[in-house]
Amino acid sequence: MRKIIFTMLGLCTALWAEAGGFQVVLQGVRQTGMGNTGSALADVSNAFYNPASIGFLESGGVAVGVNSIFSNVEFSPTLGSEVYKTENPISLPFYLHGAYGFGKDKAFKAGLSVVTPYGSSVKWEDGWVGQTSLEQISLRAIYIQPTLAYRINKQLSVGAGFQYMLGSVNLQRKTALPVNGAFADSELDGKANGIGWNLGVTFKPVEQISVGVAYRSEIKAKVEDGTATFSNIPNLQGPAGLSLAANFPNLANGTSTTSFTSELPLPAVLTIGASLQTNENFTFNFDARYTFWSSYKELAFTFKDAVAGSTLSASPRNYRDRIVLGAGAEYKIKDLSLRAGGYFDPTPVPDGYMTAETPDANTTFLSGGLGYKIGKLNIDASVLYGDKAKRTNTNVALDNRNAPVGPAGTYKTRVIVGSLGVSYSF
Amino acid sequence: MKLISYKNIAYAALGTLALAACKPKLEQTPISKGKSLDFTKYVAVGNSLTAGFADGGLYRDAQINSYPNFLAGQFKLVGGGDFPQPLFSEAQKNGSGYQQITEWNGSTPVIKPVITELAVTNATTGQLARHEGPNNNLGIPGLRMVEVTNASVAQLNPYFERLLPPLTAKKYTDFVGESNPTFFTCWLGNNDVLGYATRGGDSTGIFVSGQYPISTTGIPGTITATPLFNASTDSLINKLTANGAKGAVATIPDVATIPFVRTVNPAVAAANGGVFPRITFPLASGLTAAQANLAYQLAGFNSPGFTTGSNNYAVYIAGGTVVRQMNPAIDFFLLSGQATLTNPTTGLAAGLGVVRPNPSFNPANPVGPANFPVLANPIADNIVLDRQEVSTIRTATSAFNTKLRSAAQIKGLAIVDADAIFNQIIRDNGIDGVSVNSAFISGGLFSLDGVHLTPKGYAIVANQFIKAINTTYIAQIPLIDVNARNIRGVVFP
Repeated sequence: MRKIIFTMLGLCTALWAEAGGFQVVLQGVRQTGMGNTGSALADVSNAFYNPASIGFLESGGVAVGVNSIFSNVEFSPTLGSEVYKTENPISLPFYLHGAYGFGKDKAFKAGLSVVTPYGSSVKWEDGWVGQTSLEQISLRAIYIQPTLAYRINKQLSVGAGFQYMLGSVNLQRKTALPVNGAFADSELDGKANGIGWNLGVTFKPVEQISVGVAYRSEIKAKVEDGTATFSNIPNLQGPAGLSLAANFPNLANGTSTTSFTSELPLPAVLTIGASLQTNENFTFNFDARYTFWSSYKELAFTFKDAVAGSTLSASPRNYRDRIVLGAGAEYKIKDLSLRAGGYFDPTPVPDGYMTAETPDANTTFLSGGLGYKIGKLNIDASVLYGDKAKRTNTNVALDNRNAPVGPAGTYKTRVIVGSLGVSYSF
Repeated sequence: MKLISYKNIAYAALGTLALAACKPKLEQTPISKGKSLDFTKYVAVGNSLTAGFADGGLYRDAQINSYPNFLAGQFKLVGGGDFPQPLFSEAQKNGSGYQQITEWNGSTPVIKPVITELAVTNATTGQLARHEGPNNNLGIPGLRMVEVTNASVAQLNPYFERLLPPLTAKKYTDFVGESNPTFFTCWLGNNDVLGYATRGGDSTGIFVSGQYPISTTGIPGTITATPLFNASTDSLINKLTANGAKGAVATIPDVATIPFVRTVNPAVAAANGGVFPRITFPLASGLTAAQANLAYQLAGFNSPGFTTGSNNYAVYIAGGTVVRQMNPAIDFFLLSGQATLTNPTTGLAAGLGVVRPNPSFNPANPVGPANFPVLANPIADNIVLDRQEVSTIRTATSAFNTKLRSAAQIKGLAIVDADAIFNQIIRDNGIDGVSVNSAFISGGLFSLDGVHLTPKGYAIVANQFIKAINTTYIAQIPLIDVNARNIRGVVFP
């Protein structure tokens, strides 16, 4: 029963990074349909992208949406001729936004959002060549964000949100033991939390133009008491057995456990959006999203007891700040909206730092979407297609134990995301 | 009806399109056997290293981990054929028997022979269960280059005998010629020096006037004379390339760097606090250097030249009646002598290498050569490989390698310079990102006999062959990912 519950939780929150690094930019189906642009629009779904934008809502509203991500990664090692694939877990990141207007002319908006802006879920086929780097990872982060926005006048709105993040990480891989060609199973499992905030300004110089600037702080996802488990360790005698016992703490019956702490930065993002309504039916959006990836310097786990001679396992990442540029449009025919857009997502992952959990590369995304209005109800659907450039990881960086951060070879990823959302304004 | 089926087709097509759009189309890392190679029938020619010999024996698991089998696995990726080996059956999987670590005595491994499930059919002659059926691994443990044109070897070597119909006399050159390879590897010649090295250059029992240490007639235990080696090499390579087969030839690594030669001196030093022991005269018993020298002269040896004060610890027989003080940097105790040397009552700790008490000494009447208080106690020739022997081996190895390279070059074959490669591995503690070292047991490269390789070592060798083949024949045969597969070294209990 417990297992079933866990599985269900997993289904609901497992994510797959569809944007660069392990970012997931899928917090509004309408925006996704327009190439993830439109952060300056008065849309309840923008509470996360730009909290000021909801200040321009006439009153309040709610929006829920779910995305289903189908992703495939293939890998061909430099040494060898095989092509290895990830299994195809379908993940379903979701969002939920609500805003309520109050005060004079309902200039104040109080909102609440639950979103999943970072995450990753990858499972490689059994026995793949990079199994000592990663067999599977599940990284989840759910942000709960109360928001307050205030429309100062017809031109200007400001907004701010507080973010509480709760998440989890589960990482599984094989560890090659230096004796008898044996592999042990390693699993790191922990719960994480952290806090952050966002802040935005949206400016409407004229009715047809909206310009918004928003900053979302970094959240350090802290794992305080994770569990590291190493199992299937052979029972050896003499110095070989002593050496295993010295390398794996609390070893008993082939299993070693210790606790660990870790900290993963969920980087800050600066979003600048502009929307232009050329006539009653046409809206154009241009968005730029600057992600401060450079705070992701390494993935480090600090063990309570030394594992393989050290309490530290630190794998360098050295990500670089990246800017995503996107354009999108919406065309309305009565109650029907047609949307399209695209963006270019340059990878934050430097050469040599491609890992099996984030085999990232420059990506071009294209999207299309539909919306249908029934009174105060909007139904939105979108499809997003991303094609990551084929990328080869050579001169692989080494971690603090001189092991490569990932296998050397060529990766190719494609991702398709179908999204469905409903919103209601009141 | 028709409408519905069109609709279904349309749905199916849409579904397929959606899935296809999501499937990345990654082509595998380019691989190719090159334009000139044909791996339809790959045949491996060589000695124990080629057969997969390890841990002092040939057994099924070791055969499966032979470097030719590793190679054949990679050749298969570029269209190579099957590679049948003369595997011992599952019921006789321990083949000739081999050494394994059964337990630990403190930090010392207890190494014992495996004596069950053997394929030995005659314990006296060492005859082994016959292999019938196809066989592409023609590695014969013990085979020397000088023997390839000698038909009688087929019956004298049990590993060769088992591959042939009963009572067949056949030259190895004919044996490999009949296999008719499209591609071959050849790593032969190690035993033309190894037998001399593992017996510490001791001539006991094989001395024929003028035939030691270098023999012009191919006497076992000697070093093959270079002209003889050269002629045999030509015969073999000519036979292998007679039908136009391409191939790779490996040179002979330096025998003086293997754990069989390099393990005991450091162990003796380690047991003495990290310093190779020295001896100080006069001894605690009051025996003087002059008296010790006299004991050697009384026994018919030359004086080892002990002097008052600190002397090198051990005296060994350098050949015949010549003894010499050992220099642990250039004279090596062999692994085969470890038990003798470390024996607490008769080994180094009890005066081996210096003098031992004379049991028939009569203090009441200390007169006459036979009645001296101590006896010379030199270390036997066959457990020491000394500086001169190393030099003799290196000279011969160098000459053999010159021949192997030129014979390969003339035929345009790939050359695997195993001599240089092993020196590199030992110097760098690894190669191609795979960590190994030449330490006995723990190094991962050499098996428990200190001469032959572990599966990890053989996989490394296979990669060196691939690299040479890729370069010579402009091929792109993928290397074995030794680290990812975590191929084993020595097995620990």
